[in-house]
Amino acid sequence: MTPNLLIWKELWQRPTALVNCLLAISLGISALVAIRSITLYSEQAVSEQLSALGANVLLLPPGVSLEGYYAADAHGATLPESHVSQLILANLEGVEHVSAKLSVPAAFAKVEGGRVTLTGILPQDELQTLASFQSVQAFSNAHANCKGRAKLGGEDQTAAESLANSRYIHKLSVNEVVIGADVATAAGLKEGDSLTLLGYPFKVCGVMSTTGTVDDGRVFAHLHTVQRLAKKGEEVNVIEIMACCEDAAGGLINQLGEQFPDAKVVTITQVVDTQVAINRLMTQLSYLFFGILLIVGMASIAGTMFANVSERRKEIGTLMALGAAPKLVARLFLGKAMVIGLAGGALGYLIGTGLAIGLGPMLSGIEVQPVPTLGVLAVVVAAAIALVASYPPARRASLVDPCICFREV
Amino acid sequence: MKPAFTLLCLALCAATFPNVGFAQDAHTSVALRSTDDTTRAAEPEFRFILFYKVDNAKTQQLSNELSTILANHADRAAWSLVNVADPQSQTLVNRFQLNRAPMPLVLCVAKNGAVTQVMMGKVTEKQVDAALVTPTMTRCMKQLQAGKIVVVHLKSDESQTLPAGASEFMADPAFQNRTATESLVANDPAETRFLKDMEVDLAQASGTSVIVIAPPGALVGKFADTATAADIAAKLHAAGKCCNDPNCKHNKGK
Repeated sequence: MTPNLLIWKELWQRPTALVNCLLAISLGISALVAIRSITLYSEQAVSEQLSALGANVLLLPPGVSLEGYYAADAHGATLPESHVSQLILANLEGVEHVSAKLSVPAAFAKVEGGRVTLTGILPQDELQTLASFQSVQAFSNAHANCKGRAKLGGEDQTAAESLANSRYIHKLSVNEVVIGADVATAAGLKEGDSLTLLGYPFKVCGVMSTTGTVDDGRVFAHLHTVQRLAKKGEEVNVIEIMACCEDAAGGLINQLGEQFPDAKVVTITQVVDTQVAINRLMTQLSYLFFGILLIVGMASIAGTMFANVSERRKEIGTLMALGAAPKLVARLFLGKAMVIGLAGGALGYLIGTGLAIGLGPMLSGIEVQPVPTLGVLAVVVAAAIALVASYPPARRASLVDPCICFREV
Repeated sequence: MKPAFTLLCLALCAATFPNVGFAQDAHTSVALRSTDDTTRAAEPEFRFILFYKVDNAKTQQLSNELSTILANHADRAAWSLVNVADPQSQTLVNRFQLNRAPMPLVLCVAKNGAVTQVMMGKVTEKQVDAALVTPTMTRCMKQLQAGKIVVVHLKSDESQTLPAGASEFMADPAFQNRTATESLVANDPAETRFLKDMEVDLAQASGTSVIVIAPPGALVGKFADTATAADIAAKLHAAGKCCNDPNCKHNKGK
């Protein structure tokens, strides 16, 4: 009988011990895999957002606490809309586009819950004349190229594309709306259709592609139409400033603070920092969980193995009396531990990945996919844990005296 | 008088007449009334328009600053007061898209309709000086505000034609509908400020012959006679960057 066959038989002859060991090891591994998978995808999502919005700056009413970048207008507090014109006329370095938004709830029976968020957005063409006044600095700032970036490109994106990709709209009529992907699906709406919101008939001029943000569940209309329908006056919830690069955005903060002492200036970096801090906490927690479960798992495996060695003393003694070397005996137990470790690691990876896929969207609002590298890591770590935990019992088994065993018989 | 300017004057008159009464009642403006009389007689080279929504201390402060400073420039400039809430002012307000702008606010409008200065919060002597630009600068600003790339030809005499490279650039299908040319005789005393601001040294043998400015107000470059259309186009594309940060999205891939 080969050592491998002995290990195999030993495993199947004691299924309860096998299940206990597998559970002990896979519990810790699954917790580690689940938390790491969610954290990895969350970090990736944050990184993508940072890449897309890295240079963006938000101008908010004072005292507003920001829960998320995309929902920056969902707080009810307002700023004067005149800040938008002031911002354009101030001709601050690095400012590419300015997008002002005002969000109000609107009854819409065709979607779940019977309500949608109607977001008023100020199209860029409303600011074109004001922006053209920047030419007054063509001569006084002739050599300040940073301020004088040539803006020659025409707008070749549709309103829906521009809103989904760049978060601003170039042109939008007062009776037109752009709808989010989820609203379009739920209400069965497409470009050219009509809908009535706040008692006003709108025409759908575009459907946004899925963004994975709250924008998917929104309807975007002209800011002035929303202000009129919601009787809100010349006010906005947020002014989003698209800057050309992070350096420019960084420099903007002080200038914005001086221009708008009555507003709160928040950079995307600050928003992301908060998210990164949460991710870091999650990672640290995952290691803490892993550490605790590792100790519990190792103790469990070691206990089971010690019990196994005690139970098999006679068999071990017989084996050694028949000529088996202590090394072979130790190899049998360590081999068994290795099989349990590999199986436990694989099982832990599968359970952890399943948990991450199921819980990811609920906990972090992100879609999680299996991470193969975590699978390799899980199996290697689980095998190492099982080997380490089984080493003392294996060593004890290898030191069994066959004479004592026969005496006991 | 150009048609655009005639329209502007008509709009201004319509907009400012009702304000004379307001000014008399609310906070005196002898200067304003005399300015309006002047407006009807002969429009000055530059008109500073003080747009306001509420006749408050801030509006009063700006009007005082304007009248004081412009007293030194009476030969070239005058000013008016426009209430943006007045229905009769709407043509003017809409034309400058000031419906939702912070008030009070002062625009300086040249005779050709170009806005040469925007002032918020306060009016200073320096700002007013900057607003009183040369004829070529007003023409350039007008074109820039219409979204055109301006090719300024610096002639040594009136008979000189645009250099071949600049002509070729303007004829390029990619730019022909987006460019406008302006010219000036380099030794014209009225254009001294333009040359000084552009740092053009007339004494240099191989000096600048063409200056290209892109909207909203970026100096693309100063070019000699020998510059080709490709040289100008390359500089124009480079002007699309906003700063020297290599991470700037406009700098990537360049």
